Amino acid sequence: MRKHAILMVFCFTCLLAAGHAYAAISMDVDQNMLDFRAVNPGSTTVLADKGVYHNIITLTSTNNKIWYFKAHLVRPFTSGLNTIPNENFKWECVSIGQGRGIVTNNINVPTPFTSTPSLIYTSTDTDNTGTPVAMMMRYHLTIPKNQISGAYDAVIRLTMNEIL
Amino acid sequence: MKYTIITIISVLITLASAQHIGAEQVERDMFGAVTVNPIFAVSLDNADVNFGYVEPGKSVELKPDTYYNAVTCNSNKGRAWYLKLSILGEVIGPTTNIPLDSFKWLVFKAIGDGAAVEGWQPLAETPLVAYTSAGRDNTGEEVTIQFKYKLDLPGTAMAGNYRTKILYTMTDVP
Repeated sequence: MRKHAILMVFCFTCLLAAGHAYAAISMDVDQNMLDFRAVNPGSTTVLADKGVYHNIITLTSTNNKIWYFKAHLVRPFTSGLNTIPNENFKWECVSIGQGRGIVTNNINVPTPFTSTPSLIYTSTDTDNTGTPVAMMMRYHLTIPKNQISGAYDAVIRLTMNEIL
Repeated sequence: MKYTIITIISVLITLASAQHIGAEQVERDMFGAVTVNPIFAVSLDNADVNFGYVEPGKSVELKPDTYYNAVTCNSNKGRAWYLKLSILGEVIGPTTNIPLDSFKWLVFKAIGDGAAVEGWQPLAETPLVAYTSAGRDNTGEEVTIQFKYKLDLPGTAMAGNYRTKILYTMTDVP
């Protein structure tokens, strides 16, 4: 009975450790705040606080399986009852570092965010063995001419997974 | 022995499942913020309301067939606003004490979703509402309000040139 209990504890410890050992895909975002500051109606702001880009999203996998990077708006830019249309908010990938995969719509092409997860990047074999894919991103926001004034906020969810 | 084997097999299956489920997806959130600047502006295309030389007892209407000047208002504050007219200072001319209401204005046409006051209105020191916004007027759509003016110079006044200042006020206070 005592041997059995020790074995159970050992196995449970292994199970906990496995959670870390098997975390074979990872995502790091170096700046998760997209602050467009004050903008006049009818104008477009390109957020690139670090020169040509705003943040770097680093994606790594050692699973040796194709993975996908997606994004969607959990909450569009909203202020009270007013929202800014999704198509006015765009992401643009300016570089993928050592990545060899495919950027949806190619690099340097602003593409609108959507309310359901949309594909941004598809890995290739060389991306699946531990080489980090560092995506340098910038963001575009166009305020419609007839947008009501106020403070708007949004939540953007980034997803990396192995299911298309 | 039997329980030990069953336990090991169960844990191995769980480990395999954990690998499969835990490694498949990671998520991160980013947060966006923007302040859309307020607009609250009024402009006038012609500020010179000049009746010229007027005879006593005569009524002079500027551009009788059309409007004389236009005021353009723009607001994106999401609530109603009002354009008001009033007289600023006094009437200056050969006769100093002619009634203010000798000067009158009329909304010829308003291009917007709101409502304009109808008919000739006397100018007064107290601002009078000429237009009340509605709908798209409050979300940044430009509104143009065209005005006409006339002067009914009393028979007791002296002939001559009379002038005054008109104040156009755009406000969100009724």
